[in-house]
Amino acid sequence: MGSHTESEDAKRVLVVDDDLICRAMLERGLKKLGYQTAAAESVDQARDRLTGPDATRIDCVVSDYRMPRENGVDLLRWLHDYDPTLSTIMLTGDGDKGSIAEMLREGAIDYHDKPVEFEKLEPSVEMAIARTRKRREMKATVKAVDDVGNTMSQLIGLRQLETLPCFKLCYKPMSSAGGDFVNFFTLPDGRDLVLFTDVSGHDLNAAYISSFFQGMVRGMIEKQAPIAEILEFFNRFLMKEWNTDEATDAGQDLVSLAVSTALVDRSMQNVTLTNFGCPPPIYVQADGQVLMGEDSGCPLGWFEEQQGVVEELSFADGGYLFFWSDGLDDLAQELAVSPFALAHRLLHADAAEQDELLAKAKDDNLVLRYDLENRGEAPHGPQPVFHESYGGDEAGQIDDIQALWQMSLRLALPEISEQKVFDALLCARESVLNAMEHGCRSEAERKCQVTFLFHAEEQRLQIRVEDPGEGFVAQEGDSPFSEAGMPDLHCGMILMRQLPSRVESARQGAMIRMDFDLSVKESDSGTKFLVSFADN
Amino acid sequence: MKQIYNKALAQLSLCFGGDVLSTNVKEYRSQAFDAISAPDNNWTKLEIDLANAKMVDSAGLNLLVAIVRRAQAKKAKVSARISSDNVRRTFSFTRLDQHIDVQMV
Repeated sequence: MGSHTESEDAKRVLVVDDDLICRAMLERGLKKLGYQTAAAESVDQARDRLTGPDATRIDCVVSDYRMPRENGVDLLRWLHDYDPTLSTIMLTGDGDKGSIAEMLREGAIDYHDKPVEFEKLEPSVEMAIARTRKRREMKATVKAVDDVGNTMSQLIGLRQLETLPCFKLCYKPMSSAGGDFVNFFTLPDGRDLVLFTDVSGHDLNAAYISSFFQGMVRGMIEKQAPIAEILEFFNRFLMKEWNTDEATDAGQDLVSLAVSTALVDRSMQNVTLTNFGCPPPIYVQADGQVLMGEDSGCPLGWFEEQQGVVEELSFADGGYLFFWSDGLDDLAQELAVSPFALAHRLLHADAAEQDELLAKAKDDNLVLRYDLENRGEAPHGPQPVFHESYGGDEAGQIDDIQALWQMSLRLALPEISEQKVFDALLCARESVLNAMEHGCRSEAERKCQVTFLFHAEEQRLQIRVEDPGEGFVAQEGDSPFSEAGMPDLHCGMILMRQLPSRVESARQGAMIRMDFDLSVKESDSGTKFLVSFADN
Repeated sequence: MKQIYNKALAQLSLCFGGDVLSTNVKEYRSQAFDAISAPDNNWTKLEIDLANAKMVDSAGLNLLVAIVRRAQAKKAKVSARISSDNVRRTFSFTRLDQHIDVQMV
């Protein structure tokens, strides 16, 4: 047995026993085994020792169970709150057997009969000390991760970003230091650059790579390097320094970085979107029209030579961009809702609600809405809470589709009344079935598009359904009984005109917009407006 | 669909198990039409039981209209049991309630 008494690595045991002779025997026996010891004659004195200046030097507590005033279990309960990393061994007498289960339940890692047999106690103390030290290392690591996360947030100005009115942001990494990040730069030529990144993994390694990338981008942008060259450079760096054949042969995970950038030129009112492996950004025009990119491209770090997916957009009428990380798509699928509904809710929820919504998340979640037009005010206008395309052959799945609409509406707009949900669902069902059958001719490759838009200022829900068909002029009729023949369309048209507060159509009904006034309480009254709008 | 013939009341009841929608009308249609045209039933009242339905879409309405018309062709009185206010509104908007005696349950 080597002596630990003088070295920094000395193993220190606190002996707690009210009996002077037992305490002295325990200290003497433990010292013989090479441990440093401290002693306390009561739980109260033990607390003083464990909160004193040398508290962190104690690696293990060996405590008698039966003591006056407070017993060993009282000490365990206090330790559970004060320092759960510290391991405790209990000593029991003949009459204490019934309390063993309680001792173990309260956190004792072992127990021994008195009088103590030191050859049995020693391995128990060794195990306790090893466990304490491991727990303390873990605690220190968690703190380091927290510190890294805080430092990263400060370095990339995430907190500052949250205060800019043109941004609305929800960022919830799995750990304090995550791999998903967003950054914002104003370039020397006056253009804005939004940089959205997602490093594979969500551990310290991912956080480190993300930080390195963000710092590198910041430095190179100050040197006026074009963003395309910066991304190309970082791809080469990943390929040469991290994802070498040797590294992958040695079993090292491939490190990849998904990046999505938006280069915004306000003077020209255009934006260049470049994507390497992120979910494609979504452009929502000021009038609520949703434009989605179809391709993500490969993340940086996969291949030597690779091109991002580049799209040019004009935003003469304003609008905003949505970015979200793939964690949101996964969570939306898990919750059986549209990612639009989840993104909307996350951006409007407080921190507690966000935590509740993200309880089932298995990845970092980052959602960003960036206003393209107005940098002085918070984004406004219609907000999509559902958007999807369906093939003409999907009429048989309409019940599942409707269930997804319902779940999405309930999540995005929890205040909406039961009747408004019913009206919206029934009208959406009728118009989508009509679009699938007639506009898409029930063909899989012909798609109809469905969008649910929430107008917060007007407390209005608008459902838009568009198909690629020619549309047609429906026969008017007051009741299903007014005509001898009754095609399905007839009843559907009546419902679609009666339930919304306003209906607009274009291209002879191939585009239809139905508004539901959410501020109006339940009513049996029918349509107030039936108008046509121009097909832009 | 459950069909109950009450000889004492001379009433045929068609009990829909849930919503009446485009995705299930085909199945309901054949069962309903078979029940209505069965030769051994001598009913004068038809009850459409929609107590379990929370939604009836246009395809469902068309089926109900077809059932009502067949019943009316047999000079039968038609009533409907409804529990959902939304289904009642649907009947109201399409004026189906002017052709059926609607009972909220």
